[in-house]
Amino acid sequence: MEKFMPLLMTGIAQGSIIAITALGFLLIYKATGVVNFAQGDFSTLGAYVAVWATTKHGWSLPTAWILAIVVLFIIGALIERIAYAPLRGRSVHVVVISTLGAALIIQAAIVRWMGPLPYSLRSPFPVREQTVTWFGARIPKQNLLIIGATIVCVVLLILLFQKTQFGRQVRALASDRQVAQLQGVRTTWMSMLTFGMSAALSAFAGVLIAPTRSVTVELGFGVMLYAFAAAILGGMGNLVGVVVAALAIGLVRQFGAGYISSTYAEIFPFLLMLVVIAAKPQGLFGGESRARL
Amino acid sequence: MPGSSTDAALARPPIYRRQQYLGLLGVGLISFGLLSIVQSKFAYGLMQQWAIFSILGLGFYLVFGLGGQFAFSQGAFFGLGAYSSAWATRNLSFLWGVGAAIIIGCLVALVFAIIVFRADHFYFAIGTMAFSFIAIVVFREFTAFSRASGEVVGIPKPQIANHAFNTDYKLSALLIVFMLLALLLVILVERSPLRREALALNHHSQVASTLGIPTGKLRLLMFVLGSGFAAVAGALQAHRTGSLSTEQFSVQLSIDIFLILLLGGIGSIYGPLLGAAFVVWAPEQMRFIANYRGIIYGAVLIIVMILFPKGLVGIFEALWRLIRGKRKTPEDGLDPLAFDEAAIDGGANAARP
Repeated sequence: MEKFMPLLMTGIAQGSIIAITALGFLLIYKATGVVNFAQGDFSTLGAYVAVWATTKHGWSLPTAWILAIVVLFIIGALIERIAYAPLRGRSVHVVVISTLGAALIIQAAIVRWMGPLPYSLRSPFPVREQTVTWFGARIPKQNLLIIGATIVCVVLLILLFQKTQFGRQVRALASDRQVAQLQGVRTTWMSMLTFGMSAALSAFAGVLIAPTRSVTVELGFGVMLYAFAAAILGGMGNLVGVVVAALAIGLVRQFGAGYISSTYAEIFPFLLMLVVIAAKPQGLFGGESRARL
Repeated sequence: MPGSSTDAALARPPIYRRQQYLGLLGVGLISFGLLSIVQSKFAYGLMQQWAIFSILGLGFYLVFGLGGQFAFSQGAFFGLGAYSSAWATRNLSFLWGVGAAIIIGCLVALVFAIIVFRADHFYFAIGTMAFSFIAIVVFREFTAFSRASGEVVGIPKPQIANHAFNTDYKLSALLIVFMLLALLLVILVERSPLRREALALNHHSQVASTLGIPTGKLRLLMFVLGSGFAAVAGALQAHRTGSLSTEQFSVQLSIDIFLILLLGGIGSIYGPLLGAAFVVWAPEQMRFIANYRGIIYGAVLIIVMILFPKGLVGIFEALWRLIRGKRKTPEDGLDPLAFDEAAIDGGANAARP
C-alpha cells in the first residue's frame, strides 16, 4: 500500500498533464481538422520562457507563468499565419508536414537561444514544504497542483465549447469553414485565436510539468506522444473520453513502472494504444472515427 | 501478323516513355563519375552517406510517395536493420547480415502493419510514431549483445566472398552499387501495374476497390517493401560506421527522411536521390546551415510545402518543359500530396465485406 498511493497520485498527475496537452491539441484539431505536430514544442517553449524569466531576469514565478502563456499565445497565432493559413485548401498532409517543420524550427531555436544544457524550473511551493503525507505516502504538492489545475482547465474548456458563443463558432468552423463564414463567423480570427489558445494551454502544461523533471528540448515531445495516444484511445474529439484516456495512460505508465518493469515503463502506454488500435480502431469511446489527416 | 507491332506500341503504358532504365544508367554514370574524381576521405564519407540515405529515401518513396502512408517508422526500421545486421555478422558474413536485416525488417513491418491494418490515416501515423519510440527504448534496454544504452562497436567492414571492401573507394563503390540496385527495384515497381494501382488507391480509393484492386494487400506490400529498404540501409550504415548508438535512430531521423523525400520531390523516383544529396551535403558545405540546421530544415520543409509541392524534381521538370515547349500531361496536374483522405480507412473498409 505504501507503494500504491504515490504511484496512484503520480499517475494521476502525469495523466493530468497529458490531458491538458491533449486538450490543447484537440482545440486545433476540432477547429481546423489539423493534427498539430508542434504541440509538444509549445509546452517546451513555454517552460523555457518561464525559466528564462525567473533565472535570467529574476521574475517571480506567477509573472513568469503569465509571460510564458502570453508569449505562447502570440507564437501560436503567428504559426497559424505562417504554417497553416497559406496552406488551407491544400491537402491535409501538406499542413501536417508544415507543422512538423514548425516543430523543428522551435526546437532548434530553443537550442540556439538557451543552449543544450538542461535547466530546472522552481515549483511554487517553498523548498521545505514540497510534499504532503496522505495515507502514509509522501505526495509532492506539485502533483496536487497539476491535478487541480487540470480539473479547472477541463471544466472551463468543456463549458467554453458547449455553452458559449465562442465554442459554437469553433464548432461551426470545424464542421464547415465556408458555411461558418457565410453565417458571419470571423473565420480568420477564429483560426488564429484557437491556435493561440491551444499554444497557451500547452505552455501552461509546460510550466506545470517543468518542476517535476529537468527542462530540455525534449520536455514536450514525450508528453505530446502520450497526448496523441490519449486522443486515439479516447476517440478524437470526445473531450471527456480523451481526459479519461489520458488518466489511464498516466496510471498505466506509473503502475507499469512500479510493478512490472521500470526500464520499459515508457512503452506500456504505447503498447496499450497499439492493442486498442488493433482491436477497436475507432477508439474506446467512439467519437469521431475519422481524423482529417 | 500484320499490325501487331503498332498494337504493341499502342499497348505500351505511357509510364514507359519516361525511360527509367536510361535514368538508372545516368545515375550510375554520374555517381561513379563523381566517385572517380573525389579524393579526400571526407568526400568519400559524404558519398557513402548519400548512397545510404538514398536507399532510405527510396524506401520512403514506396511507403509514402506511392503507398500514401504517413509513416514515422522509417527511422526505426533503419535502426532495426542496423542492429539485426550487427547481431548476425558476429558469426556470419556481411551478405548474411544484410539478409538478416531484410528478413527481420520485413517480418516486423508485416506484423506491425497487420496490427494497425484497420487504423485510419492519423491513427496509423501515431501508431508508427509509437513504434519508433518503442523501438528506441528496446534498442537501448535490450542488451543481449550490445553494451549499455544500446551501443555496439567493432562491426566488421563489408566482405563478400574473399573480397574485403576495406578502402574508402571500394566501400563507396559497394554502397553505390547497393543504391543502384535499390533504384532498379523501384523502377521495376514503377513500370509494373503496382504504381498505377497504388496511385489509384491513393487518389480514389473507392474507385480503386470497385475496379478490383486489392487495396489492403497493396498497402501492406508497399509498407513492407519500403521498410525492408530502410532495414537494408540500416545494415549498410552499421557496416560503414562500425558502431551503433540509439541516438542515430530517433524520431528526428524520421523527420530528416521526410525532408529527403519532400525536398527532392515526392512524385519522382529521382526525388529521394536529390533530397538525400541535400541532407548530406548542405550542412557540410555551409557552416551557416550546420549551425542553424534545425531552423533551416524546418523552414525548407514549410517553404517547399507552400511553394514547390513537387520539390527539386518539380523545378527541374518545369524548366525542362519550358525548354522543350511541351504541354502538360494529365499526371502533371495531380498534387502529389493530395491523397484521398479516406484512402486508408475507406480502402480497408471496402476490402472487408
